[in-house]
Amino acid sequence: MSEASDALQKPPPPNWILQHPAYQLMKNLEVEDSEQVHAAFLVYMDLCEVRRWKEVSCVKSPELQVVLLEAREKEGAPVQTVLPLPVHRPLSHQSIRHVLDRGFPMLLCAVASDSTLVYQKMTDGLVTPDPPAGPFQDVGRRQHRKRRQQR
Amino acid sequence: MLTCPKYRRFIKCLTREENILDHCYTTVRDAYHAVPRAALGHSDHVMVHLIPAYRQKLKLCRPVVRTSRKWTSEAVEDLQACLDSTDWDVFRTATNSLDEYTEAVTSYISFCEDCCVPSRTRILLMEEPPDSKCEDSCHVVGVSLCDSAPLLWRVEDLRSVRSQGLVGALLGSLPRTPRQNGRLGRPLLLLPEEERLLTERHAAAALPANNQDGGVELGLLVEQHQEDQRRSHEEQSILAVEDRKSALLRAIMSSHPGSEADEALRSRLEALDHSFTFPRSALAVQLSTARAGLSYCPEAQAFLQADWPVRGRDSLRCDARYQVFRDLRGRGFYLTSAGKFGGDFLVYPGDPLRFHAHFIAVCLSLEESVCLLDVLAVARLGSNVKKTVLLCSPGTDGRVLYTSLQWSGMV
Repeated sequence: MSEASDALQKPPPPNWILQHPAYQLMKNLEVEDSEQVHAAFLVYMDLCEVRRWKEVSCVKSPELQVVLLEAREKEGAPVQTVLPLPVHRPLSHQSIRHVLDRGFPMLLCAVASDSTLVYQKMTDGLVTPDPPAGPFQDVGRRQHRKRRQQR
Repeated sequence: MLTCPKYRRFIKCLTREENILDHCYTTVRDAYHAVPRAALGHSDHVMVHLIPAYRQKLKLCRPVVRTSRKWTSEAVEDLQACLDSTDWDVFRTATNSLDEYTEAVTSYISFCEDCCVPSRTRILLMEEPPDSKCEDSCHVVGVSLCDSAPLLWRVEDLRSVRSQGLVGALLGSLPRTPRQNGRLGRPLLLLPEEERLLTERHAAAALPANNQDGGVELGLLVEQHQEDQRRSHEEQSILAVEDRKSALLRAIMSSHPGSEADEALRSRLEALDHSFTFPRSALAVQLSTARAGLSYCPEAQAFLQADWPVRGRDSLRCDARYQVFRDLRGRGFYLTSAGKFGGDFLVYPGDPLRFHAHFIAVCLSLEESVCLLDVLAVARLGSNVKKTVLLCSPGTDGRVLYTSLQWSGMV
């Protein structure tokens, strides 16, 4: 029992990220940009622990020299590629095309300095936006008159 | 009030013994003709054959036979020879009146034409509307340059440009409603990409500057104007004197005869003829709100061709913008400038008067690097206004690559 409470009270070591097995895996991919690896790790943790995505794995992109993540949202869902980037990093359309050329739907994830994550979906081609959702009600004559008077 | 489309019934025949139990409704009038057929198998409902009532226009129109002459150069030479060898005096002596003479000569000429010029007969299966499309695409619009802004002034130019799918932006105020921004009038400002596209199609040319012989014309116009003003002044002063006299007379009528006021009025009336002056400042000037045809470009002026001043903006971004513009226009989209949304173009699936924009196009070259924050900002804006942000770059093989940015839905 004291061991259990000991286990509860013992805080994680300050460099727990560096010792995490997933981080070690990413380090082994030999990407020089350590900031990007750190960003990739944060996205990994978010996908695995918070959003519970399945089969999250990391892979190196040779053209861009970054760590990419591949994951499925649910069992049986299609594989998606996630590009984690620190938010102040510049990005070119060419790099986006390289990731899209892998053939999977792509998510760009911007990692802020406070570890906030913003995901943006990127698709090849022209995707028509969703039409505005109904139900629509024709504004009656009273409304129009009211609006005109307000003006 | 909800508007429901009006539905029309098509099945008017009995479908089960004495009743009509099966129905078919559409919103299109006279779409089908319903014919009952024998029932299938043991079914107690008859089978209904809905025959579409549409017949192809091709089959509806009667073929038309058209004959036309082929005016080749040999034919012209033949005709020339034929007419040269005619003795025209014969006609003069043979006919008695001018009408007969004209009749004879013209029928002889027609006869020669029939002999010398071959004709061609064709059968037209479908009457096409008069070549309006062709005319529009052949029409060369006259672009006036105001500094470096390309402007179109004439209505037929605006119409031609719109029919080619280019929208532009109206800049001028309307003479009857000047103090508003909602509806604007001519001139039409073209985007640099639109101007370039028109130039490439040889559908636009610069108008020669107005000042070439403008001095003389302008002087004439000024003289004309002054003459008009002088005439107007004369007419108005006559009318003013009349007006004054009748006012004084009315005053005299209403006052007592012989009183002081009456005397004063009469003396004023007599003095009127000598001393009345109609000051220039009291002149009523008519301002015409509609000019009869904007005579910036008389039809007789010859257009300059393809000698464009290249207005120096040859940067990479401009080129990228133009490639994207041409590609999207080629796919049938309409494009306007997207200043309000921070992009380069707004892309409409059809005429902007009928549709909302679907895309905000941001043009950049493939290698150009953008700040990630800018990408997020423009994507966020796009999702707020229900438009997809398109990153467009001209690729290596002349195609344009498009990437759509959408909100991921992951909060």
